[in-house]
Amino acid sequence: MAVEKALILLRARLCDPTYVHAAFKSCSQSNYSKLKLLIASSMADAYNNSALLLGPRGSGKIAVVDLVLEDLKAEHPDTISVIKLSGLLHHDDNCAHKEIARQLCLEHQLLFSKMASSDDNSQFMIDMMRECGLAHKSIVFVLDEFDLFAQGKQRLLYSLLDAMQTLTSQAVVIGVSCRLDADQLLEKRVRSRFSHRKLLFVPPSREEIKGLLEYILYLPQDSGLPSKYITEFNSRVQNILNDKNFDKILDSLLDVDGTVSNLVQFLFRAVSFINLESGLLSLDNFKNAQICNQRQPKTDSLHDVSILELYILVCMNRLERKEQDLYNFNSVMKEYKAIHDAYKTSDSYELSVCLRAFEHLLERELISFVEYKGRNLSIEFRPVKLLISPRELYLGLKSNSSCPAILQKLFDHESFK
Amino acid sequence: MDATPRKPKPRSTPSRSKPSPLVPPTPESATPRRSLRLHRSASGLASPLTPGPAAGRLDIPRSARKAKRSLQIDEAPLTEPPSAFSPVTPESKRRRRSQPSRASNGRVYYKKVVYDGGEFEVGDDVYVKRKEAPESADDDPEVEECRICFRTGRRVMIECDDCLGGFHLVCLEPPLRKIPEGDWICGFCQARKMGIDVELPKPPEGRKMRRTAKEKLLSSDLWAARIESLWREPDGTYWLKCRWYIIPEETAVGRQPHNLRRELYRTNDLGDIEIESVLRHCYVMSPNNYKEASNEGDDVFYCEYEYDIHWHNFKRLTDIDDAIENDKGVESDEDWKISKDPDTDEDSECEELARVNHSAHRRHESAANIRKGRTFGLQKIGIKRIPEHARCAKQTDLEKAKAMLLLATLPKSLPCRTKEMEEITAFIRGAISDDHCSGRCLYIHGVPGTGKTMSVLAAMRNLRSEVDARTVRPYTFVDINGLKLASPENIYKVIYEALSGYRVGWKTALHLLNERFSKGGGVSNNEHRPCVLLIDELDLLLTRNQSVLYNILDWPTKPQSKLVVIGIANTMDLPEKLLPRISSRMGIQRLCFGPYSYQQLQEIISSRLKGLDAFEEQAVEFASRKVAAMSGDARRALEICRRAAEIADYQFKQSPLCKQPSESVDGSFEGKRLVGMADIEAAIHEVFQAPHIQIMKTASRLGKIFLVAMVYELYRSGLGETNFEKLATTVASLCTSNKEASPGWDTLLKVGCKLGESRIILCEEGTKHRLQKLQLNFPSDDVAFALKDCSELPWLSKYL
Repeated sequence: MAVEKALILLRARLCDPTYVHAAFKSCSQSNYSKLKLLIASSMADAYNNSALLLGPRGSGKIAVVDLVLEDLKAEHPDTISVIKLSGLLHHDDNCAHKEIARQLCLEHQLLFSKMASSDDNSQFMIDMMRECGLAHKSIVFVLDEFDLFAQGKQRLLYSLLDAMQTLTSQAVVIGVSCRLDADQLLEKRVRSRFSHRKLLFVPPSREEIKGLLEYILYLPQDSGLPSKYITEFNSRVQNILNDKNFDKILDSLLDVDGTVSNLVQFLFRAVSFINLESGLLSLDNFKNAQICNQRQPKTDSLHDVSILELYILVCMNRLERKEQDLYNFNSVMKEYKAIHDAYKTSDSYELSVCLRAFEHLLERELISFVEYKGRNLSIEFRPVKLLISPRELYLGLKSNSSCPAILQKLFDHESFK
Repeated sequence: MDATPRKPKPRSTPSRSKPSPLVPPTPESATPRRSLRLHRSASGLASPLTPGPAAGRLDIPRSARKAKRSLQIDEAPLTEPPSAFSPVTPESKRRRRSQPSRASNGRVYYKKVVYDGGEFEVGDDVYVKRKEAPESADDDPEVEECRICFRTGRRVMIECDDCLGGFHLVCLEPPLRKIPEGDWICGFCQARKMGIDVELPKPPEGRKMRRTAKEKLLSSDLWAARIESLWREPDGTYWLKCRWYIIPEETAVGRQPHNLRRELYRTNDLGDIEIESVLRHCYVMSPNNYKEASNEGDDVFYCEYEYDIHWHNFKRLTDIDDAIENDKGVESDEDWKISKDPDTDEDSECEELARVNHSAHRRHESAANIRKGRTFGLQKIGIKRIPEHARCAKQTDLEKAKAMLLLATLPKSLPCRTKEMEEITAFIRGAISDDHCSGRCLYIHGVPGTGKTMSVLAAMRNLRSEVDARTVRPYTFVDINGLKLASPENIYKVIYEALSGYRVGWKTALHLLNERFSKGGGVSNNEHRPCVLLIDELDLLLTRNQSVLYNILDWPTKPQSKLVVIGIANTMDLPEKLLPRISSRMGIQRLCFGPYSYQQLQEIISSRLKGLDAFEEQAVEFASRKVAAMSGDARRALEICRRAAEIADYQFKQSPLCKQPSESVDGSFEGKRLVGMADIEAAIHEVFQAPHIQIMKTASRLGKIFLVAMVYELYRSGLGETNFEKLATTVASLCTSNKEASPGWDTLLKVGCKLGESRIILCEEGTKHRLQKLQLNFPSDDVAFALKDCSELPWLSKYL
């Protein structure tokens, strides 16, 4: 019972990005405090501001924005209204204006009409900004996937930023993007109106990750769990965190992708592997999670391809070895025939069967067409390419239990050491 | 009649002390209460700034006036008996407005009425009697008594900032020699604040404590209102429509700690009252005027917010009427803005609101985001309780500087563009004062942030005052931004609506406009008026066959059009890019706004910061030089300076010095901080910094290897573009030769796509796998710079 409760607690923490990013709240140099200062000062002094949050995906940009807005809403109730737009949904200007009007109406308990024209909606937005400014209310626009708003004529951005520099409004525009050159995409008249404040989100340093791990994994004393269990659990976690092997696992994880979201996903896996009987985390859990994390999808899909498909792959590899750059199904079949004739293997199939196998490989994306050539030819004649490296193929052959020995040998001594 | 300033413009100290009570009968008995500028206010009493009504009443004793209430108007004297004293009882006050506007045909409207010695004009603020006052009329002292000796007298009085009571300096314990600086609180209030029960001195036997009108108002025995209109009913009585003021205690939230003692709220509640019930003038002022007010006497009030009596919420009053300093008559307003007179607009709003409130049960409401519903819906927006932070008036120079540097702050003057503005003014004046008013066209171009739109608008403002002075013929001004139109064709709709007030489809609008401009035929009654059309971001009106631009630019050439078009765009060669028939119509007169030079930027910034000791001289120069070298964009320069001020302000507030300013290191510093070079440098760094170096430095280990492999591949092949297969082999060879674990292709692909997302490299989508094309998005030197001395992977520098 206690184990399940602890598990639920840990998972809830890991699934909640705002909880995870709240770990960096206290630091005065963190993006949280910078952003909070920005929004709070624009509220206190009735300024307009605009800022851009940049950073790779998974670095917690939106989570920090949410956290800041949540805190500010608690501090100043009834004075902030938040409009959230996503570039994926609202990059069309008319649609964006409509959505803004809808959210503004919702926020202020006004009646919204779907029938309003785009002109009406944009005028409404400007009127609302003005009225809210007069009433000491701030409107915060959060534009997710900011780069997508910077397409076309950028009417939305222009009217937002232009309203901010001419009216006595109190608005903050926050653009969120993973593209580092997002502000370069703006048209120059829009860029001129944009105040170039950028907050850069970088992956956490090693010390911060240490702190984050402790913050997430330690059970709190007041969680209602038996205190003996809590102390045991926490001491176990401490042991793991101090383990040299754990550091290695962590290294291999962060070498690929050092963002917080990657780490959180890894922890979620590890926590899910928890031993339900003892209810304690062990290093093995993390090892298993690491194995899950390091799966190589292409190699994995080699495990269960048929023998014929393996033949085709090996043939293609041989063709590449012979420095034949452009090949199609027919040339692969020729190679297949050649092997078959040379080694007298038992695995000889009809052409139509081979074509089916070939199509299957295409579907699995182990091979693909070379795009720009022969788009309107039939499958047999379109040039194809292998999408796995020889090394991966070698590993795949080895791991595939049904792989005929001859194929293995063929591959071994013909091409790859 | 002419001596009365329509809106009193008093001057005073910011410490909101009321220097003198309302001008007393004899100027010698002036008892300026407390003021840092005592002498000036005392001498100011005799100056023409003295409000007229008070002066006009000087000769009539108050007691006498009651008996002999007479109208001093050229028309028929009022025959109403003076005892019919308060036509408006408190109960009916709010309901008055719902009365039908019965005899509107017989009414005669006035702008100014002299009644009982007082001149009342539309826009004035007055006291209104609430009910038959229990106190007799001679209990309306114009001079406040001392709270201690209960005499008036000519000795100097001081006003408590808390209870607003007046005290003779000599009556105080201990007596004060002169008026102290800053806030002063009387001993009673001080004691009350400490929690001590104090007994205020009682007036001597047989004398009641007399209260001034201000005190009565603040204890809601009187009302204050602003006159919206004045008229005479057919039966000869004089009435006025007024907008009520309300004291903080009467609002839903009650008095809040940050409310000033003399604060009033303007309501959206209107009432009709008879002029009988008007007591006399008071002066309700906007914050700016209030700060400067000095010799308006005791009847000065402060008003910053509007209170909505239906929704019980507050809204700041717009300073728009104050921005245009000189008072304009109502007619000139009509000249200026033909679309809608703001006042009548507000009225109809209120009426509508009242109607809806009357029938609150009615479910049908109109949506806020469509045109019809807006006037109603936006009424609801307002704050229930004014936040305290909005009211803290004490600002340091740095904070003021921050506010002044905002883009939204409209500067008082526009330096550096006088030549251009003159040219624009001359152009418009020439075009509209011409008798035939042959249409003309002006094309203005320049890079963003060089003050194009601002200059045109400023020129129009100046012209407007000339219209008011009747030196220029009235004209219509239409301002359109091309980027705010949903589609280019919509411009017809917008123009037609602005000219006539009707909304029609764009095709009809085009037809009607064509008619109007070609034949001079009327869409509205002001068709003879020239029209100035300002189109911002003109290039957005380009359509495939350029018909919109052609139509608009063709109208001015018609003999009867009286149309002047001013187009603004960024590109210099827009006319050349257009069809010849359009460019021949538009390209003749052009005006170029060049980028600002650093001296100009410096002037712009320092003109905004005038009077504020916040920036070091070189700091401003540095910022302007930097921006001038880059773009010459004034917005950018202002933003940088604002950011620098923010940084400085933040650091100052963080520093312990701020918390204990008295303990400053050296006397000259004294809790003050100027924005220096370092702050500007930091701000510039923030604005112009390239984030990619930072991201490269903090990339994951594999990401770094990936980037180095890209550079290595670039050097080796000399080609900018590579594909994933080649890159993967490079990475593998790099890794094996440096004893790194070499990653699988799948992992590497993931890393590459991550880098591609943040546009450090440009890459095709990941499904292409080994055929994926890759290219560095930044110069290889940047990568080298970022990764040269990476402590994690020291071997990387070998390949850079």
